[in-house]
Amino acid sequence: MAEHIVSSFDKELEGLRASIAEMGGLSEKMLSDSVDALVRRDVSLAQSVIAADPRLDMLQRDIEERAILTIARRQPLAVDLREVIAAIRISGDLERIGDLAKNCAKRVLALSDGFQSQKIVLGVENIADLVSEQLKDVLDAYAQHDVAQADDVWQRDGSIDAIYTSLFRELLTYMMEDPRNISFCAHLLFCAKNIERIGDHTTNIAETIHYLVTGVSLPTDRPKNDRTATLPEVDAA
Amino acid sequence: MSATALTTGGELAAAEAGDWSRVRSGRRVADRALKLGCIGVTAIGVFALGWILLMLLFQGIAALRPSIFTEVTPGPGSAGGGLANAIVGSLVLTFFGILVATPIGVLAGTYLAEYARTSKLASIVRFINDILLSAPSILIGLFVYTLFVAPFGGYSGWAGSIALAIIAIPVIVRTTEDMLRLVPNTLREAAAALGAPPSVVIRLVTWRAARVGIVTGVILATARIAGETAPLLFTALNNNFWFKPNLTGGVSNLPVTIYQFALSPYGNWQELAWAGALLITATILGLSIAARLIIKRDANR
Amino acid sequence: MMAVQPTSVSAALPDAPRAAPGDERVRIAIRNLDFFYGDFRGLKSINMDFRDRKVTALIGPSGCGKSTLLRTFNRIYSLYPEQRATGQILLDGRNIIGNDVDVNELRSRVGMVFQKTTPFPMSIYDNVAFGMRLYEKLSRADTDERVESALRKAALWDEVKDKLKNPGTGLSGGQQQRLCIARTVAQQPEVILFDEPTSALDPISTGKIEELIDQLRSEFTIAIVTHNMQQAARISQYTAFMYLGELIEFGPTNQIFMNPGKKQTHDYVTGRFG
Repeated sequence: MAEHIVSSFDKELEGLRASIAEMGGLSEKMLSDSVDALVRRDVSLAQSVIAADPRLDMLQRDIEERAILTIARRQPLAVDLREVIAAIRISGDLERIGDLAKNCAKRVLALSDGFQSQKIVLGVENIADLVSEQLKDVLDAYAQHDVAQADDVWQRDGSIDAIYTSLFRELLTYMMEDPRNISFCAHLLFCAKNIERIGDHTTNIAETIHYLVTGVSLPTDRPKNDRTATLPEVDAA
Repeated sequence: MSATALTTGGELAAAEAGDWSRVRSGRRVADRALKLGCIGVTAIGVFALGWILLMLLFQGIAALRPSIFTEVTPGPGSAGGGLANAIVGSLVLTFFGILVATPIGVLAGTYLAEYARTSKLASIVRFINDILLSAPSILIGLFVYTLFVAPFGGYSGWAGSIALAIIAIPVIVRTTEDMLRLVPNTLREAAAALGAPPSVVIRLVTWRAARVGIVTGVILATARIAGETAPLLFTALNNNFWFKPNLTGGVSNLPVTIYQFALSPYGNWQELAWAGALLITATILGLSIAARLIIKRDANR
Repeated sequence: MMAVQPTSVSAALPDAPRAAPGDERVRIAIRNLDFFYGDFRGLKSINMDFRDRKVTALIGPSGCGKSTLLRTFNRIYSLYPEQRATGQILLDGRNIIGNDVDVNELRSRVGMVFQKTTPFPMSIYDNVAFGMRLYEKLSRADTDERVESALRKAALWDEVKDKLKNPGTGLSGGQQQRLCIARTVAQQPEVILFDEPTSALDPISTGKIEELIDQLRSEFTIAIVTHNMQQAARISQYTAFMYLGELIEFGPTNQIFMNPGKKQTHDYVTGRFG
């Protein structure tokens, strides 16, 4: 895109994009570290995830402040205004992703004393891999302003929801198999839910990117395949 | 003197600046020389004018006495006398002259500024008006003589007024046009945008906006014709009696009286000429000051 | 050639102008309008519609022809013999470019407010009464009433009600501009044209004028030329972007400023115009 007549305006937008990229990298790392900590029951890794969160919060506040100043100073219009609004929205989503990863890591601290079969965490690892992929793709889509990739991420959220639904059944099965698993599985269920929510935030980001590039919002009905709320087993339980 | 102090101050500053200064010294000398030249020539002009005015004041005030305003101009060889008939004659001639010139001049100026503007005809009229503005006034006197004096078989105040009007018209045309041109076009557009036809725009908006300038132009034209001598020599002539109420025959007036009395060998005539000259100068000065005051008051508003 | 019609905007925008019966009536329709300053073609085949009781903003860089376009609606250009327009401007279906049109009557129906404030050299009262006295015979009481109502509509009444006999030139810049608006409103026109009405005013006065324009929209069809894009975005429902005498894009204001269809429009509204 052509440069602005006022070059400092370009610099401000550039700075916002760079900070979003930093937040993206940080939240990606927090997600993968928290999953690793969960899989390995690694307390110190979990603690490092928790320690990283304030930095993410700080970045988010900084982006918000700079975005507001840009609006006040430049009164951006069209794509520029969408760029600034997108920065605010995406930084909010990334900050939430960080919080959810941190919640996951906190659960690792609670589980660390017991010992459970490794196969139980496999399903959570699976969903986490998928969500990490989503997050990476959506951050690439933002960096490239690539609508096709963003739309792709948005579509793929359905499969994450589907996997979450089956993971939910799987963990229920483990709990019914052996009541000693209940506490561990309950924690895992919350972790899985947190990771699934991170997936939702990546779709939010994908929607924002779509709006940023095209100026048109995606339809409000997102691909939803999380049917846990309507499962007959849950109703029965 | 403050001027010297200022110059020394300037020199000091320049000396302190030293090499820092980027202005070559030759240029500073040239600058100083031009300044001195201008001041010198101005001084000569002011001196000459001041001399005339001082002389006029000195001699005129010495000649002023109440009888000037009450008695008629004396005949050759008779003592005493005043300028009453000449003063009143001048007032009448100037009054009628400006009465004729004002509507013609204002309307013609309006035509040039509002209607004709950049047309070919306008530029021709403007050119002729400028020639008329600087035409020798004696020529205008002769013109009116051939047209209004010779055919009617006698001098008259009417012919004199017409001659003065012809001198005043180009002045009024010029100032009216200039003043109307100073009225911003947006004002005309704004009035036209309300659906006002040109006649209404001119009467209610542009004339009003230029009113002060036009009035000033008329006053300056009055000042101009109040002192004219040449056109009256062939038209109103001059004499030493009260003129007839219908203004036929000669009408006494100040400028020609001054001209004749100053040339005469009689001491009392010369004195009266001085007094008359002072009166005319004071009148013109008064009119000029009035014009300035009007403009200033408008600018302050 | 078809007129540029405003294309529909994403339904997500609540403020988007909606087509409602009677609400979207076309007041001024421009068809193949060309304009010449001597030999220079200042407008090139303009086609667009101005809707009733809407504010339509004309934006574009200096010299793009937006003021020229505005000045054709009341034929104020005909004060200058070297300027002429060809094509059609249909005001309620009647072509006002035709020779059979009485321009003074036209101008009483299409009012105009200029960039430079233009109070006439007369009292505030006479300024406001100027236009209506031209074409109507009104009693003293009726005139008083119309003057007051116009000054109220122009949000100036409270500031000048005690000094109606004072000269209009004694008011502040913002008040002078509102006086000019009152003068135009008093004539009860159908269309009001604003040619950069706030470019010489401070932000407070500008705010007052903008508020005023928004209120006047309920009674008049309004066209405004402005260099201030945020102003166009704030007060207009439709926006036209012009460049080099051509209409580049015309549509609902939200669309022009949030998601313009043409690259030139986009570059202009985002400050990328080289």
